[in-house]
Amino acid sequence: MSIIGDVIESTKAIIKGMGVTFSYIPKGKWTVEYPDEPVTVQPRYRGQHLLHVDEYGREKCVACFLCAAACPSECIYIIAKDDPRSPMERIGIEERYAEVYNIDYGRCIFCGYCVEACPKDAITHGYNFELSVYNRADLLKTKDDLLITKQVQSRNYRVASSEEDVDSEYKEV
Amino acid sequence: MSTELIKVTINGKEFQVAKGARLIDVCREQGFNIPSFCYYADLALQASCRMCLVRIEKMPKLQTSCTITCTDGMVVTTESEEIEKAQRAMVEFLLANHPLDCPICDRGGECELQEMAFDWGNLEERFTERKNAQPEKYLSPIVANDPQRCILCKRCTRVCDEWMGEDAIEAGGRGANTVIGTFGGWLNCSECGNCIEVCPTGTLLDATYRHQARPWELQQTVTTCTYCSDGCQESVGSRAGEVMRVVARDRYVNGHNGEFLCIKGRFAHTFINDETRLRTPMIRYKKGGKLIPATWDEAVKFATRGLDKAAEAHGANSIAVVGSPRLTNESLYALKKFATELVGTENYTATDAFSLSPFFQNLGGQIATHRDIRHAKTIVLIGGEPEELQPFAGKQIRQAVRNGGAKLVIINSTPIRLKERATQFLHINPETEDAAVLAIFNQAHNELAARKMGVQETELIELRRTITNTEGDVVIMFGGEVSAEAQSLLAQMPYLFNKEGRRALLHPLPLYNNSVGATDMGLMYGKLGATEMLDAAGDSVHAMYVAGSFLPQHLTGREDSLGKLDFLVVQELFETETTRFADVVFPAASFAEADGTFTNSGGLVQRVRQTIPPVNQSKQDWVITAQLSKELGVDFGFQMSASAVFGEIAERIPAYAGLRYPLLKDETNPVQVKHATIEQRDLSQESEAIRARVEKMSDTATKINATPPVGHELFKIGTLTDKLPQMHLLASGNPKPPTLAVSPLYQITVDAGMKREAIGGD
Amino acid sequence: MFIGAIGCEPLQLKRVNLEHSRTIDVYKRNGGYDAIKKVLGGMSPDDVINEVKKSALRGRGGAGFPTGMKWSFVPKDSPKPKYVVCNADESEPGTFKDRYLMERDPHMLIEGMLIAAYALGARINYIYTRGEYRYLINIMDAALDEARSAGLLGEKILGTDFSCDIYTHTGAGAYICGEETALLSSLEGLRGHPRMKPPFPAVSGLYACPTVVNNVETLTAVPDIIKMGGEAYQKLGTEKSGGTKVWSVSGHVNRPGVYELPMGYVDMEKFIMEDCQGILNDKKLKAVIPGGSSVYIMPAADITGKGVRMDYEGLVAAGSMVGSGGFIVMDETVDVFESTKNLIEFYKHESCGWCTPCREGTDWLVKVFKRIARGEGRPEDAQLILDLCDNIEGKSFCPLGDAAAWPIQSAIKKFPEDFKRHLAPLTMQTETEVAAD
Repeated sequence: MSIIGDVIESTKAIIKGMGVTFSYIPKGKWTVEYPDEPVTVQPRYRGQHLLHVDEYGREKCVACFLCAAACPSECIYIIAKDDPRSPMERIGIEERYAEVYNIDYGRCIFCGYCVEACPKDAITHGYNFELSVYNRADLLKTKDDLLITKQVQSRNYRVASSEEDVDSEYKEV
Repeated sequence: MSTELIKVTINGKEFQVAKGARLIDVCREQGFNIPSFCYYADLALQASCRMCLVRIEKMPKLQTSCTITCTDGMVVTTESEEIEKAQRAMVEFLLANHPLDCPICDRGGECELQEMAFDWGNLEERFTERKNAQPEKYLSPIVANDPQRCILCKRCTRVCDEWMGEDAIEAGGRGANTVIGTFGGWLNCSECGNCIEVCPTGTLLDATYRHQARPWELQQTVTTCTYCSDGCQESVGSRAGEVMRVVARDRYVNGHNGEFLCIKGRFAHTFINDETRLRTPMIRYKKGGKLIPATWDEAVKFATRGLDKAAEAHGANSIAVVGSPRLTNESLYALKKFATELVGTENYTATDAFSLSPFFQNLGGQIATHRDIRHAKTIVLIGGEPEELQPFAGKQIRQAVRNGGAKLVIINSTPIRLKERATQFLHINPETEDAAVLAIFNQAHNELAARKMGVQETELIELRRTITNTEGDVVIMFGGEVSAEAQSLLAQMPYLFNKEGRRALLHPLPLYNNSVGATDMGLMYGKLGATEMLDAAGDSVHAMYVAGSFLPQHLTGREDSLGKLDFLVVQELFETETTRFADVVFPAASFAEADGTFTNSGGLVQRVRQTIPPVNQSKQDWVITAQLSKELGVDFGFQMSASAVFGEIAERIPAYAGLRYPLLKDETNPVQVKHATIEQRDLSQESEAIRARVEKMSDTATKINATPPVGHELFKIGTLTDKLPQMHLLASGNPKPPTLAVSPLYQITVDAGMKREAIGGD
Repeated sequence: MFIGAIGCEPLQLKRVNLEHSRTIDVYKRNGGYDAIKKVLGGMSPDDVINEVKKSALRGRGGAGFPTGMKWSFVPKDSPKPKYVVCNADESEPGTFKDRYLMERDPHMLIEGMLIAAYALGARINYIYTRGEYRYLINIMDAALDEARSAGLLGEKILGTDFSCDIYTHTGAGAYICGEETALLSSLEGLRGHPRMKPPFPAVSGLYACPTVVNNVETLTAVPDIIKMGGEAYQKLGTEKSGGTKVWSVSGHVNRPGVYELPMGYVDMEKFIMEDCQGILNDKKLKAVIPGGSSVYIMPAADITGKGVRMDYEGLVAAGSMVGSGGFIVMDETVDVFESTKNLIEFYKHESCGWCTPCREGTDWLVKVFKRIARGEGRPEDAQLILDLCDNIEGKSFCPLGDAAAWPIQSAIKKFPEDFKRHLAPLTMQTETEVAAD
């Protein structure tokens, strides 16, 4: 193989490669202008957890510890408490509720096992994803951060509707 | 059960089994898993859950293996489509009306029904109808009840009847409306909680642990109970340094007590993490001043200086070392070593209610373990009240009579509840137990004894005949009522009654978990007893080192004695009457935070294991003693290891020779210490002393006719039980709250009017 | 209402239609207490048992176990006292024969019990009636007093060494107490729960002593057996089922009543159409439950023209059982689904709650039947019901579970159209059918 042959072959390859590059110039841009524009997240996106309440505002969590048992990174810490009051006065929907419910986001891997394990649909993944903090200790989120009635939702995301085909949009690229 | 072997074919394999063996046991031993709910060894057969169905050739229907006794040539199938269908059907039936609220059920995770549903449950629930709802309620301050979860295996009712002899819990209603309930809707019993323990579902629950934690979150540690001398093995569940509950479930612990525990052992563990536990060492710099928190170094220095000063001023014998029968053998040994080898004092003792030293000094036979009691043929109970003070011994006596056909002879001045089971009850005049011992020892004294005891002479003759006609074991049990001399006579009784085919065994009934250990460690052989020591305070005793506290009965009438001391060092869990006068107080670790051993009334030496790290700044008692001795210039060489202390015990104390922690590892096979027996000796001096005392007794005493109420000892509020709020409700007569739906704790406030007189001694 | 014998001389019902038939005088005048005289006059206990064995008398309570055999199981050399208990807890739906026997001829029962007590060496005997028969206790007690003052009860009966007494006891109205071991528990003052078998009551029954529990009709047959001899009695019936049987006939017949028929009476169709004077209002026969509610239901097709023989073997061959002889006739207006629902509600109510399949199974079945009756039936429910019955049958602690399952199984098998109509989705039903529900 001569040197000339090499030059021709590599020139061809460069032209082919640049052809792909140049072909994208006229197409639309995919860059997300975060945080100026909200990010589109998929409906099943696994963001910061949410602890839910029922229609009377009672916490759905019964402190069964199944999420903590399912958690592979052991980031959930619960202290259960007995609530002897009548059903409508209670904090939770049953006599047992979580007095303390902590998730350590320094350890959480957002696997979603806790959500699957929950027998009461009390915990789900929300869409908040801006979890960075300046202090490692702040990664520990308590019930006040997680309850759906108390968690402040970020304005920087938009949930795709279930019909919206977010996935294939990206695959096209 | 005979030793004759017969042939049984199970699933095509032949097995040699003992004749008369129960099929379900045989199958399980051979590794064939047979599910069951209602079958429980040593309880009456029920055969109601219909889970243990097997196919036996030549029998028309499927048979319950729990009711079948193996016969020669029996051909059994335990696994087949037909059997599996039946078993799956039973689980489906049981789950039909079950609320399936496992997430909030405290039993979730260790529930037999849950496990059974995993193995034999169907994937789909065919039951789509409305379930029979029944409200949750409380049966007593410590027993919570959710009737809807019940599968009516009736283990609870059988345990209540057969173990406790109380029959406090029974089934009511009929058919699908059957519920387990109580007479009058409120549980008035000894609140042992064994019904909770044996319940295979979440129907009966521990109300003190209600909705606190889930079993898989708990760290289970096998240890020995710290209350009475029975030495029950229990599993302490702790989480993050906090003791959450105590159970004796088979799945966690398999001690000589099975699943038995009493109210104190099972529920009264809240003292461990109580807020009022001593937090730091404290020093009273000035007599009459306040106790001021200090560092360990400072406190240890202050204590040793004080003891040194007393020794210099008044000599070594002016220092008294006092242990407590609640401490581990290791701590007691360290105290004894501190007293004899370091201080060199003759004044050492343990604060026990009565001393067993005369008994062990004259021991002429074997000590009966609780298993021996269960299989005894005759039981003679002199004084004592095991159903209140040693509940497990009481249960063993009841089962020996009920299931083993044993004869029970009770000699007591009070008509205790156990007398209902007795073949013979000698209702004697108060404080004449010695006379009974004398008469049993030598029938020549029958007439005198009978007269003083206020019974017929024939009753004593019958008692002797019962003993001498026994084939098998005779167990002689005695309580604290008998005098020191009578203890000597009792200790020598095996020589009188041992015979070919008959063993006379002895079983003392001391009050504390390590009373026997305190005697073994030599602490009970000091010059002065606890009360004598208090009397000598300020006189010949000038300084005292107390581990634990004096009992209220020691201090009554001697309230100021401790104040007369020049210097008092106390190590305790809580502030008590004893710490009130202390110059230095060390925070000690409770049994849950300590490693060591306890020796129970049956002579079994059993492990105490550290469940949680010491609370606050507390340290184990022997560590404190070792620290003091080090400060005084002697290193005991314990190397901060309890097993090193026990190694030294095994070297120095003959009864414990050869023992090591690894040998005590298995709670299923507890080790009995080899107490030295002495040869038959002349006891005429002792019996003469007793005779003289008996002769002085009055002929016309009034008998106590009232049977003491259930729980009069069990529910007593002491330093430890005081920390369980429910105990105060029970001690106040267990009032029924306005509504059963909510724990009585939230409904009833215990006020002074309700409180029984608070007496120590738990 | 007819009370009498058809096809044979009345034995059991010999005196029931006489005036003052309850009194000892009437009883004695009509051959009463002759049998006990004969027994005490020279028969040994073994002779009595042999006579009963020869008679091929089978228990009339439902199971049909040979009585002589049952008596011979009682250990002779047991040092414990022995008991004879009369099971008068007649709670089987459709059965009322014992009631008439006791109400109208109590002395026959007393004599039967005396003979049984003599044969078994029992000193104390009990008559256990159901709670609803409280008035019968007064009649029985009056009869017992009469017998006592006539020297037929108490110490040294008729001047012989034989002493024996009989006491009455009522239950509290539980069907389960008709089961012999539950009856014994109830008699002891415990909850009316059945006990484990073995040990059978003949070995360890009342107060753990040998006990024989017999139905009223079984015991009242004994005096006649003694009087006429076992073989003669057996010849009245068939080889394996001797003597006569009293049937309680109820339902849609023109003449319901208590009928005494010889064992092996042929045939059932004739019995319904001629002896009972046919179906009410000239309707068509739909079904017969021949032996009380716990046996298989027989559709008309299995009866008409089949020549069903009315004895233990004949009815088994025809697909049912003699049971307790509660003969329930149903005409074409009966919806078998509804009648079965009624039955299962009875069994749910009467299940004692001891064992899982019976307690939970009957409860579940009732819920399913009620749901279907509400019009919420699903086509797969028929399979569900059959499967539940299969899961109860043969797995329960005592026969009550079986008794609850059998009628349902046979009803679904024999009358599928009645169930199909209910199980069809609501929209498929016509308006009139919905209204009828």
